Amino acid sequence: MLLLLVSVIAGFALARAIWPAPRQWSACDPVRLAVAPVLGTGLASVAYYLVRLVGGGPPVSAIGTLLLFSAAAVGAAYLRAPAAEADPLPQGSKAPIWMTALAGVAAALAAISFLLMVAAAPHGEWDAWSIWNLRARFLFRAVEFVSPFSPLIEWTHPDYPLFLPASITLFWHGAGEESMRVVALLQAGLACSALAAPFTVIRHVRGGALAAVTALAIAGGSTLVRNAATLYADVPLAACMAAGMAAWTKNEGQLFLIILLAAAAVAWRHIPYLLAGAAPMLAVLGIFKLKSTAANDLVNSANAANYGSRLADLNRYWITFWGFISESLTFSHFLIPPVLVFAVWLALVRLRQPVPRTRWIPLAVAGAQLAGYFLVFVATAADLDWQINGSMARLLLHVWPIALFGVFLVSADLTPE
Amino acid sequence: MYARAVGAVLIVAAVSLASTGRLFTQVADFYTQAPVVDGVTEFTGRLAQLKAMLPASGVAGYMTDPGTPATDTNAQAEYHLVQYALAPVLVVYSTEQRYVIGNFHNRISTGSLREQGFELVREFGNGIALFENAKAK
Repeated sequence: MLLLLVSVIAGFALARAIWPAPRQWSACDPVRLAVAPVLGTGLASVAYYLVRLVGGGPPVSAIGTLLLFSAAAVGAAYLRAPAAEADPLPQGSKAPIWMTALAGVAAALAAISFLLMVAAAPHGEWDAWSIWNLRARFLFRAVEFVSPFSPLIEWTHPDYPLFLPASITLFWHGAGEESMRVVALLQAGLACSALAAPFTVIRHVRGGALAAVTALAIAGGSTLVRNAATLYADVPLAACMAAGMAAWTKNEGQLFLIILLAAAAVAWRHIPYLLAGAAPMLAVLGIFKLKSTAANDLVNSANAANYGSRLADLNRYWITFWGFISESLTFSHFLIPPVLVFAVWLALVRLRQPVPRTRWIPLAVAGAQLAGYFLVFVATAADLDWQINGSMARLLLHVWPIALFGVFLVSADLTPE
Repeated sequence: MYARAVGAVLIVAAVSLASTGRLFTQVADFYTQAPVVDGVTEFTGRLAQLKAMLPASGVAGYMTDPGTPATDTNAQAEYHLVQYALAPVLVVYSTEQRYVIGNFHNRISTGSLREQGFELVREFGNGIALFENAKAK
């Protein structure tokens, strides 16, 4: 547990090292704190992976490397602080107390539901014990670094990135046991990031009222809470899409990174900064992929052979289209389909005038990510109905926080100018 | 805040609270009826003694009731749980290994397995047994 806390502090320091601020508590520090669980978990997983890669035996060297990374992040944040400009002041109005209370009730119901679910099923659901926590067990128990990625257990998807399993393993080493409480706490921290990253940014740039609605909407997505309790990697991915490290979390995150880079190139023109920021994690991911002997499901030679015929099959587009429509109408078991809720929201509140081009990036990226998933469904060699039934809700969940972030970023203010 | 905005906020709040509220009531019901020990802990606990007998690493085979279709979801889940329990030993769904883990639900005679070359090493109860494959020694 202590190591988990250390990693969150390291994540906060890393956020301050990348995006410096004066030494005292600053206006944008809630945003930095919101992304800290993601960045800290990322640091822990990278520390663990690099140590195992060079033949270092856990746990002492891996924990030592995380502490070293943490010290480096704290040092960099400290050194950069004196020259840092003050954070921009928050914009917009404060939330009325009743809105804050409603958001608080939704968040509390979500948190209690999560706790009850993980208490009843501490090992999570199928993919947790057949992929993510299984790999963490292999890493924790195996003296060598080969069996966790053996082609003999290809069904465990050895090509999946290690953000979640490696960080769990390192925290288990810190705890001295395979504690499922640690896994639940990590999932809870990442779920908090998925909500808090959009919430804190909206609160800073658009005001407390829109931020309270953002929190209400994200927490109201019961799929997010349900999925966090399954201990799968989908909520971590949703958090990483909002806060960074997505490509190191799931293969879908690599598609997200490509889309984000493309969007930044078109609308933001700061692509060198984005590339520089992504470079260290891309290097780690590149090493992992080069070392991995297992091919990705989608690109292995057997599945790739019939791409042409599957992509030319119009029926597959039709089935996938209806899969998307059907899931988007029932996502999170809202009383009213969420697409309709936020269409009504925009109709009532309207778009802010004008909407700066960069403010469309989150919605554009979410849309492009879904378009990418659409093509993957059409091209997949797996049974299409099974694939849609088994994964559509989780794929929509990936973009849930970032899409809502986009909606509230372009909404007009709730109070008259 | 203007009236349209209040209406929009109340719509989002209503659907959000209805969604989280419904989840909470479902989970609360489920939690009160859930067994004290969850299914994964219970199933993997059956394999504790077997795990202690296996080497710290290596490959073990796996077999279940004869005639179980490869697509049987429960059989697949149990195989994955056996791997989850026994990691870092690699458990392959094959009887070609020297040691083969048996996970049976139907009564099966060790004599019929012996005829196929599988010597019973130990039975652990709950249909779990460890065999040695004479052909793979």
